[in-house]
Amino acid sequence: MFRKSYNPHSYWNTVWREFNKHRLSLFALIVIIVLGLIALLAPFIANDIPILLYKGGQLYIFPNVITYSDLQAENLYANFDRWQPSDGDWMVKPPIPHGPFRQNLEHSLQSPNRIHWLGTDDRGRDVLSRMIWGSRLSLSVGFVAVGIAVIIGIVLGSLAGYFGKWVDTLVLRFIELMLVIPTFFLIITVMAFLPPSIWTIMIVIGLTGWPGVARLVRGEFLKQRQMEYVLASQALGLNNTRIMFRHILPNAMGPVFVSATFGLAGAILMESGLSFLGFGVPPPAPSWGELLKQSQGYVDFAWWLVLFPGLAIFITVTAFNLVGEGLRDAMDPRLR
Amino acid sequence: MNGKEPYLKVDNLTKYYPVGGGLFTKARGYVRAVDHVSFNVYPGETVSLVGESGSGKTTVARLILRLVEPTEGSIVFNGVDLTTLKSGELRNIRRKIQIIFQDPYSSLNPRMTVYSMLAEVLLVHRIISREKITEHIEYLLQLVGLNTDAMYRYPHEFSGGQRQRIGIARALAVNPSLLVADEPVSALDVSVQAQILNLLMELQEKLHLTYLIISHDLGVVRHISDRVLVMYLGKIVEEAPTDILFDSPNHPYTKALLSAIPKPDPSATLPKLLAQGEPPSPVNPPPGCSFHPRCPYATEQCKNETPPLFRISETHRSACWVFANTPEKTTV
Ligand SMILES: Nc1ncnc2c1ncn2[C@@H]1O[C@H](COP(=O)(O)OP(=O)(O)OP(=O)(O)O)[C@@H](O)[C@H]1O
Ligand SMILES: [Mg+2]
Repeated sequence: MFRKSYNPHSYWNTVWREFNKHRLSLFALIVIIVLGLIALLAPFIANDIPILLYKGGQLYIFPNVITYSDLQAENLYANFDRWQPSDGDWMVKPPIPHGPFRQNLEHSLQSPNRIHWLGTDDRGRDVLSRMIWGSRLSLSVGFVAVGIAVIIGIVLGSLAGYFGKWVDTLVLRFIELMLVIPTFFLIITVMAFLPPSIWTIMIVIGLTGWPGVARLVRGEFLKQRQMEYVLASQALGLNNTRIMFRHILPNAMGPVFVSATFGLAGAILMESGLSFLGFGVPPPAPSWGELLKQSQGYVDFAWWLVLFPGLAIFITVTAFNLVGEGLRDAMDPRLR
Repeated sequence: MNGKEPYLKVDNLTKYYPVGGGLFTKARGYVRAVDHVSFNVYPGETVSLVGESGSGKTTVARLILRLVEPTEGSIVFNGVDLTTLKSGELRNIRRKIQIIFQDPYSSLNPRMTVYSMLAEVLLVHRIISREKITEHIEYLLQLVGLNTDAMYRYPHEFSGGQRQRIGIARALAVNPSLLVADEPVSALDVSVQAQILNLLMELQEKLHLTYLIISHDLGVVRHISDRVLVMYLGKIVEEAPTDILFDSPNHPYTKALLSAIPKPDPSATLPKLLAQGEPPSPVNPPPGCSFHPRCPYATEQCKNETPPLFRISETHRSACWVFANTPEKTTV
């Protein structure tokens, strides 16, 4: 009696199958997943606080993420780099035994060596450790900023596409206005006046990133609103909010995901750019853009401060763009 | 029919779509999709609206459903003028009129199961309590001849005919009394068409429904309707009980449509009788009778004056200067 077997998620299954055919995008997705894991596990990968500590006959599990009051009392957390285990004591350190904030001015601006694999910055902090912790910042700025942009874009885009007429005109003018203003300069200007913090950056990037999403959602709504299932819902007396968000939106989300993926790349690049120019996250927070900035202004050009953070930015941004492209192709119109 | 109050009374219903021009610039012209259309539908009957593509049938359906704002005219349903209602009052009354769409593929939300589709309307309108909902959905599915296990499936798992049945079940969920069906079978395989038409007729009997059925296929119309309205370029050109229309059509356009019936090829709608094939554009309809450029009987009068709907008999009306306005009305 039925044409296909029962499968509620067939749409996403098809998208996933198509996506799998793009080897490069699949590889990029793996890169992003690895990056996400690195960000998530940063305290276990790059830290001078040990993962396990046996001291004075007591075993401390994960002191790198748990603050033990007796260790705190000894002021050990701030001095783990100098702590030497006495008889019977031992510790397991993360593979990169440098904290992202640990300064050592005597070791400043070292080029890559045995101890500091990717060198040190101007305060003697380990570059690799700061880059690993910096991935947390980049990714969280990316996701939160894009989250804000997507929500604003969905609300404005669906209102414009569904109601049309003057609502549409108003939203379109607003979008055009946003597109005319060079976002980067707008953000720099705003950042110059606001207290610098990671939240300010997320919000400002998010507030300027919605026009693309809004335009896409508007276009999808314009298309869907003519569909007979929408007319049927109207005839059945369902209210507009329900029709917009319960009926049309799920059918319009495909392009939003694609645009959000590209948006992530843009937001990460934006954060690095801002930090590079000194409008970013305030020090001492580790950021890829901030490492890049340090490479300048020294007589001896600190190439490791350009190359490694630059590569990290490049790889991340490229990976998100590749996933976006793969997703876009996988969701090709013939599925809708 | 006579003596009864009309259940649906459409009066001078008009929809002009502006063409060209934006929000602030004036339109360059208008598509006269529906142009001063008046007709009645009486309780319990099946009225058909026929006409070629572009004659404005779908627009009439959407106007009656209030999915499209009329430019002019009134729609009185069960004594209430729908065109003057506020949206709140409208929501309750419009439930009584439901629509079945032509395309069974776009008329169901691809992301919703049959269950959630039906449960939503039943709950929003408090038609049934939450505990009895599954039972009621089973009843609706059985009513339209589907297995109850269809409930947890998505639209893409069904064939066109099954989807059309789901569309009918959804329309019936809100207990309508008037069903407007816009080309309900034209997208279906011929073998399935008869099944759906039979279902509609069964349902009419069982639920005491009134039908307005839109079709370009006179074969479909003859089978199920009590009366037929023939539409051409936004206007009704002839109206008659089905038997009379098929046995003694008056308007040359109706005759042309009838002579096309046995043709299996649907693209050959207007053969022999008519010299020119394509209907003129509704943006700049010809002056006088809009059918005159294609009509072999056209006179000077037809080219200059728009014919009114002449009364041929109590139940038969036709808008033709040549055949309806003359004393010998039984030409053919
Ligand atoms: N939203 C709209 N904007 C502008 N013109 C429209 C719109 N909807 C319909 N029209 C025009 O109105 C006229 C009547 O269209 P309608 O869809 O009502 O015809 P129809 O008889 O249902 O034709 P079909 O058999 O193709 O379904 C057509 O010329 C069409 O192009
Ligand atoms: Mg139509």
